[in-house]
Amino acid sequence: MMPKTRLARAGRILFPLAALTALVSCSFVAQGAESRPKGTAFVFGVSEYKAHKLTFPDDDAVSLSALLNRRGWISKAVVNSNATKAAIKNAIEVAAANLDSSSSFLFYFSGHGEGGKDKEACIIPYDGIKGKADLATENWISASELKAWTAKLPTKNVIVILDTCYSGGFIETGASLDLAPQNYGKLDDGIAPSFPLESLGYFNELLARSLASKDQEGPLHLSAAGSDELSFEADTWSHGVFTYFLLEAAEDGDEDGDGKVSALEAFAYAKRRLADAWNKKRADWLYEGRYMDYLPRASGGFRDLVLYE
Amino acid sequence: MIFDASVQASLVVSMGSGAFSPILPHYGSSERIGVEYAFPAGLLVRGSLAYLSVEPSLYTTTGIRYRSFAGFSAGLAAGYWLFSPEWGRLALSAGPALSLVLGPQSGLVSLFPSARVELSAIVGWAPGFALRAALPLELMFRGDGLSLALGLAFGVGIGQ
Repeated sequence: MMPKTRLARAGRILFPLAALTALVSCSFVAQGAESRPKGTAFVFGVSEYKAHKLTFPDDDAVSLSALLNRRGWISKAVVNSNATKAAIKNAIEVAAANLDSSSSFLFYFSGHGEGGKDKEACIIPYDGIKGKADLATENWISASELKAWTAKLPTKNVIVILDTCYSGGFIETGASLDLAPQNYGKLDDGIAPSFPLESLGYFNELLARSLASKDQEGPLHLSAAGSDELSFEADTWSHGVFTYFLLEAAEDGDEDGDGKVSALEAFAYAKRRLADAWNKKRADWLYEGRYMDYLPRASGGFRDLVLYE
Repeated sequence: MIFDASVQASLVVSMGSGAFSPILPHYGSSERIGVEYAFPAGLLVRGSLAYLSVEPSLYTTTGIRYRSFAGFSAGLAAGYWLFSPEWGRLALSAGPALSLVLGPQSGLVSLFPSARVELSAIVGWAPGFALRAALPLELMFRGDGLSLALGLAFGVGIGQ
């Protein structure tokens, strides 16, 4: 079945030192054995827009919120007509007033998004579409607005996950650079350059990020798609494709086997699964004149955050 | 001039920022090739290229994960011979390095500078061949924190 688009959804060798490390690790990591305080998550999903309806974003939000509640978070799902711009802003403000510097905060949105090469990326809450031809753009939430709201949070342990079209436009900070082109695909702008030689072509940007220490502790962003890509939902999985694999990552995404799945581990898992299970079949499929393969993006530095405990 | 190749094992301690600043011990390894030119006056200059890896990823109590990484590092250093007996020399050198690293699986690439101080000994073993040992101390400026690496390296060199 043709998937529905979210229209604009948007030491080796180290024997002596390894032993020493293990010894020292025991003493330090013992701190890590304490259970950390539960994080706070607000999970939004909008399917039932007044027009341009989607099918699964509300299910995405409900499923993710339930999973987060089981895996180390206190999460609240807000869906459909309750997921307005004011509600989203209010949730972040409430969190800003109640969290402290050691807290973790997660914001998730699944629904429509807008953006593209020359437009600032936006997510579209319930009240962002008032009719088929009545796009209430004043109720859209731009990348800069969301950044300003999350900047007021008293903690740096913030994860922002967006399953919308063009959501890569929200990714801008962090010491690291995701080198996949913003419109991924052999028939689009290409694939990620190989490491390390081709990635040296991004030397200037990498150096600038390395020197811009101020922004390196901003939110860890995970986005379903690049800033110039559509993202999709699929009847096969009854979810947004990216969200489905993020959910799956709770069970299968612990790559280093430490019993926890970090945001970047979940991202890496979802990216790999999406590339295998979705992109391989659709690299040359067109939807509304665009190739249907796409790739999740992430930003961040050397620090990563626990997503599933 | 001596060309050398060496392997290094390190204890890497990461220090983050904030009230719950972690002190996390990883371990690191690197394989390095270098070229060192010694001036008669006791000065030396050295360039090196290394493949380095730091692992595993570790969590702080607040759920921050300092992730492992691997990549390439290019460095330059200048130094001085502390001793230069007939059988070799002991030198102290220091200089900057720049590392381009990749996070595992995520495809996120980072570039970070570091400063490296190294105490090295070169022992002639046959004409034109030498053994090289070094104790490097490297401070990595990762932007969102610091890592300090204390290592032990052994290798062989050719030249004189």
